[in-house]
Amino acid sequence: MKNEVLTLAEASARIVSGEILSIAGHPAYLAQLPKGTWIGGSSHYFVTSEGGKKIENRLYCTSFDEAKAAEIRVIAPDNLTDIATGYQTGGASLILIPAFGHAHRRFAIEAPQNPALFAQPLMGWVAGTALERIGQDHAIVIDGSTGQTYEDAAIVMHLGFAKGVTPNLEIVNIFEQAGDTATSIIFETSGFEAEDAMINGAKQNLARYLTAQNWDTRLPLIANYGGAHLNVSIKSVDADKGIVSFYAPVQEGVVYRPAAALPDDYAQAFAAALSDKVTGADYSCNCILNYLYGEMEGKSVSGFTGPMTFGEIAYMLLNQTLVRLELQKAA
Amino acid sequence: MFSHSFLAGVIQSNQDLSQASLATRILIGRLRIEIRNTPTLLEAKIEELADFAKANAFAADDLAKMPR
Repeated sequence: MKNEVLTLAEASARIVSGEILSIAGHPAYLAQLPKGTWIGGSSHYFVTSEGGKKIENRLYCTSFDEAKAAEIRVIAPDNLTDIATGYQTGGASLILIPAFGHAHRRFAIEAPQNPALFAQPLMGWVAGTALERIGQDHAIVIDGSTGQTYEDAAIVMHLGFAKGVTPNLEIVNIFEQAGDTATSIIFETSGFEAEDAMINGAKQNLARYLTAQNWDTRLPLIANYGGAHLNVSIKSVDADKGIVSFYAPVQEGVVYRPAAALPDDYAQAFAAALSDKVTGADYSCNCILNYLYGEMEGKSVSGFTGPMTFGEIAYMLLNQTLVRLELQKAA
Repeated sequence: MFSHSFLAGVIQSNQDLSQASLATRILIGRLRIEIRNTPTLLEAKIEELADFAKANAFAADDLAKMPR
């Protein structure tokens, strides 16, 4: 596996030579690439070896030379439960979904309930737009085998690997859940928006509670799934309407607690968390909110390069999390 | 493969799963949450975990490493 920031001509040459690729970049550039075995998604912000930066004139390309097979599928929002039917034995699957459409919402809500998805590493990210163009431009994903662009579907690439290659999917969350005595929030229904919730055991309007508490909305809410700490980020709080919006759905009945604190130095926190995990090349993404809140522009992160995305996928949709797929080769 | 009582214990406990794969951690984490909210689902969730371990060797390995 290899990660590179390439010009349009360089990326095109890789495709034509038959490489299997995942490509992130400006949609106008993605649209000019030749047909081949690749999938792509719109992304404008990256952390490279030179540091975090907005890149719109080159493409972030990950090539999978360990793959012996690659099947690309376009999956409509109504058919997302079918993702696992394409899993290849011993393989891994990459998934790209455009932000803010039905596919995004349905995957986020339905994936955690679908045990078939967990049968092999399912890793990917949510395609976005330039931050100043949110609400004006559409995020897109592309099936490189046809050149077709989609604003509301999942693009999946099922990879099969040569013998001796084992895919391993992990997450790096630099946020710590506040202790057991911290505010607990339990939602009665799953979704990207919430009105009332059980807060410390009493039913209250969440938006008005957060406003009254002068809550730092940069802190994610964290759920503990068997020791895996999974974040949901707060998008907006409207106390007048009594509505809180999230970047990933909160799940019914799950106990959420706030993160203890913002890291002093995001880049350093990620580098420290990765120091004992990085043993080779990997396919990674990280959250645009970490890029923003952590002021990562211009800062490099030892052990990580990749797109800064509108949602990260490790079997299910996550926020403010680094996700990495590593291919381990037998000695 | 795994006894009913062992799987029930995994789902009903807060046993540390940090050595298990991410997939197993998330799946068991969800089962624990569902049981906490609706205890009558226990049998169905034990069956779901058994089926998952039967279908996925990595999950069976994860469970085999857990203390009994």
